[in-house]
This record gives sequence, C-alpha cells and structure tokens, in this order.
Amino acid sequence: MTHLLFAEGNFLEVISVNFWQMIISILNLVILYLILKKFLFKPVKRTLEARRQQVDDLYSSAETAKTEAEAARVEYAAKLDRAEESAREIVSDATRRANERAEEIVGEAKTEADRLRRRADEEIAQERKKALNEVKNEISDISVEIAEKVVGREIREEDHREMIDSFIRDLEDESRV
Amino acid sequence: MRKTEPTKTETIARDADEAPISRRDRFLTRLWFVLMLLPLVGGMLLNLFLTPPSEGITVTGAQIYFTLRLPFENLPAPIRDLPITESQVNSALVLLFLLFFCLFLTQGLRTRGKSARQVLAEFIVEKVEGFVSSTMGDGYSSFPPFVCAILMLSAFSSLLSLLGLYAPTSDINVVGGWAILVFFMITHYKLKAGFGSYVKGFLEPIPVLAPFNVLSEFSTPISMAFRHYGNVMSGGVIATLVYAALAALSTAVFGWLPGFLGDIPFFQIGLPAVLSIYFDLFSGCLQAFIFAMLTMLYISLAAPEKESA
Repeated sequence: MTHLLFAEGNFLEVISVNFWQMIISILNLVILYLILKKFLFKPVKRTLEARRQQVDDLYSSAETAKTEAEAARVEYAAKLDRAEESAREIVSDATRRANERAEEIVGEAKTEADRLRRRADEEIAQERKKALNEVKNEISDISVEIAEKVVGREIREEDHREMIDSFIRDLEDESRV
Repeated sequence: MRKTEPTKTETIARDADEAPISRRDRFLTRLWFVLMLLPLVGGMLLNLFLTPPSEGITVTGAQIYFTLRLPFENLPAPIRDLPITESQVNSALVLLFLLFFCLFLTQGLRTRGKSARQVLAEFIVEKVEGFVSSTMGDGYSSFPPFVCAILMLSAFSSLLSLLGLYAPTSDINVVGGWAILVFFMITHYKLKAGFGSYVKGFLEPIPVLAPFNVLSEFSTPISMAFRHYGNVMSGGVIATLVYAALAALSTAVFGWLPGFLGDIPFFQIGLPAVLSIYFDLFSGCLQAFIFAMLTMLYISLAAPEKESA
C-alpha cells in the first residue's frame, strides 16, 4: 500500500560517491547562505542598528534636556535670589516710609496740639485779664462808693483812681507770688 | 499638561512602537508559519507514499526516486547519471523550511519589539556573530551568515530523522559537498598570502615531508565529511538495529498473546525515544556545531596574519 510509485525500492549504497550530488549539496549550502544573509541577518542587523541609533538619540536628547534643565535651574535660582532681594528692599523701604510717615504724623499732631494749647492759654490769659479788669473796675467803683460813704463827701473819682489802681496792682502781685 | 505637549524623547518612543501590528504583518506571519510547516508535512507524505516497507534489517543509503541522465553518451557513467534521491529532496525541503522560518522570524521586526519571534531572530544573529568573532577574531564580518548556514543546514538536516525522514547528513555526498566547499575556502585564504608561500607551506618543516603535507591537506575535508556523515549515519543504523532487536524481543516475550496483541512490539515503546534524543537531537546538533567550529578554525588558521592595524 505504501510504495505506490516504486514497486521495488532502489536505494543507494551506504557509501556511494556522486559528483552531481556533491555539487547540489554545495549549491544548497550557498543558497542557504544567501537566504540567511538576506532574510535573517540583514533585517535583524538593520533593526539592531536602528535600535542603537534610537538609543543614541535618546541619550543625546536626554543629555540636552539635562543641560537645559540645569541651565533653567541656575537661571531660576538667580531669579529667586533677585526676587528675595527686591522683596527685602520693598519691605525695608515700606518700613522706612511708614516710620517716616508716622513720625511726620506725630510731629504734626504735636504741632497742632501745641498750637491749640497756646491758643487756649492765650484765650485763658485774655479772659483772665478781662475778668481782672472787670473786678478791678468793680473794686475801684465799690471803693470809691465806700470812701464816699466814709468820708461823707464826694471824692473826686479822678483824684483817687490812680492810688486805688496801684493798690490793686500790689494785691495782684502778692496774690501771684 | 505633559499630555498635550510631548517632549522629543516621547515622540521618538511613540513613532516606532505604539503603532499597532498591522493586519498585513499578522497575515504574513501566519502565512510564513504555514509555509514553514508545509515542507515538513510534504516530506512526511512523500516518505509515507514513496518508501517501500523494509523487510528484515536493511542498512542502505538514500532511496533513489529517479535518475537524470545527461545527454552526453561519451561521459563516464558516474558523471552522466544524477540520481535524485531522498537526500536531494530532503535537503530542498530543509532549505524551504529554513527560508520560511527566516521570513517568519523577521516579519515585522520592530526597534523595540519584544515578540518571541524577534527575540529568537536577534538571539540567533547575535549568538552566531559572537561565536564567529570569538573563534575567528575580528575581520570576518561576512562569515556569520555562512557559519549560520552550516549550523542550520546540518542541524535541521539531522533533525529530519526525528520526523522519520531520511537525514540528508547521513549521505556522504551532502556532507562531502560542504567539506569540499570549506576546502576551497581554506585554500583560497591560504593563497591570499601568495602562491609562493602557499607552495612553501608544503615544504615545512623539511621538504621530505611534502607528500605527507599534501596528504594532510586533502585529509582535512575528508575527515570533516566522514566525521559528520559517520556520526549521523551510525545513529540511524543503531536505531534500526535497536528497533529490530526490540521487535524480536517483543515477539519472543508477548508472542503468545492472542490475535493482533501478539504483533504489537511493546518494547519499541519508550527506549527508542531515549535513543532518538541522543542520536538525533544531541548528536545531530553536536555534529553541526563541530562542523561549523572546524570550518572556522581551519579558515582562520589558513588566513594570513592580519597586519596589525
């Protein structure tokens, strides 16, 4: 059943040398060499090369990125320093100005207070003077009246006013002391 | 925020690998896989239909399918006749298998590919290149495919016997052809140093030894061929003998069993598989390795000393 085509199987001897079979064998090896070269080694090596290239690219771009990041870091550090500096300046400036302003305000207030006090003093003094004059006049009037009553005759007001005034002045001086 | 503005590195990574595997790639991969298996299946069918059942213990060479006769009557018979045998057919099947195997492995390679096929393809290429450069040194960049061809053709030819096919490597003509090719390459590299020094090489260390030097020159390919051929063929012979012995033993021990049970060669189960692992798998691969190794050694010895760059 199995040997449909060959009624009697023809076999080579165990060792039989044939020229053409060797040539075919050599050609087979050469053909396989070409097959492997073209269909296995070439594509795989191309892929490996592409991968190497890609890794190189990645490395170089990583290098660039690292350099850039470092530059950015330095730049930002410098910026931060400057910002801190200026913040300090702003704060100290503001403090200084605030102090100045405060002093100014206090000074103004003091001046105003002084002015107000002076005016009040003046007013008080004036009022007092006025009151004193009034009292003085009243006293001298009363004195003249009393004296008239005592003396019984009319005293010439003009004659004695000078004397009474000096008397009141003395009184004032004593009371002040 | 990073999503909307990919950096350069992210773009590179994306280009090559985030593209999905195309339908074409997938289709071709399957096609190569099927085409890769076809020669093996075809070989088994051929074997099934064309090989007559053997009677008794016969140790023969390859089966002759048909004989081509060159139309030159005055040529001597060995040159005029070209018997097409199992060796030639099976070698062609191995070639076809390896062709589609390569296409299968390298279909849709990617820079960042991690598929098993790609890993295997890169493994083969890198191992063979490392093997060649460690044995021969630098400067033989065209050799890895050749060494790989020897390794694969030899190993897969021997491994055909695992499928029950005739291993082309157990035909002296096949291995002899390779050895002759290697011999020519050795001579080519020796001639590179100049014809004078090639001839002078035979007269060393003393001119009296010249005949022996010539003899040893020609014994190189012969020993290579016979070593390989003998190992594979003897494996086949031993397997045949063991099979026959086990069949006889089975008949002797279990022959009394009624009906077809008595005809089953029970002892053929198990032991031949172990033998096959040694003779087909181990010995076949080992001989392929030895043949490739010797090729590289002889050629690198033959090559003139490289000018130190």
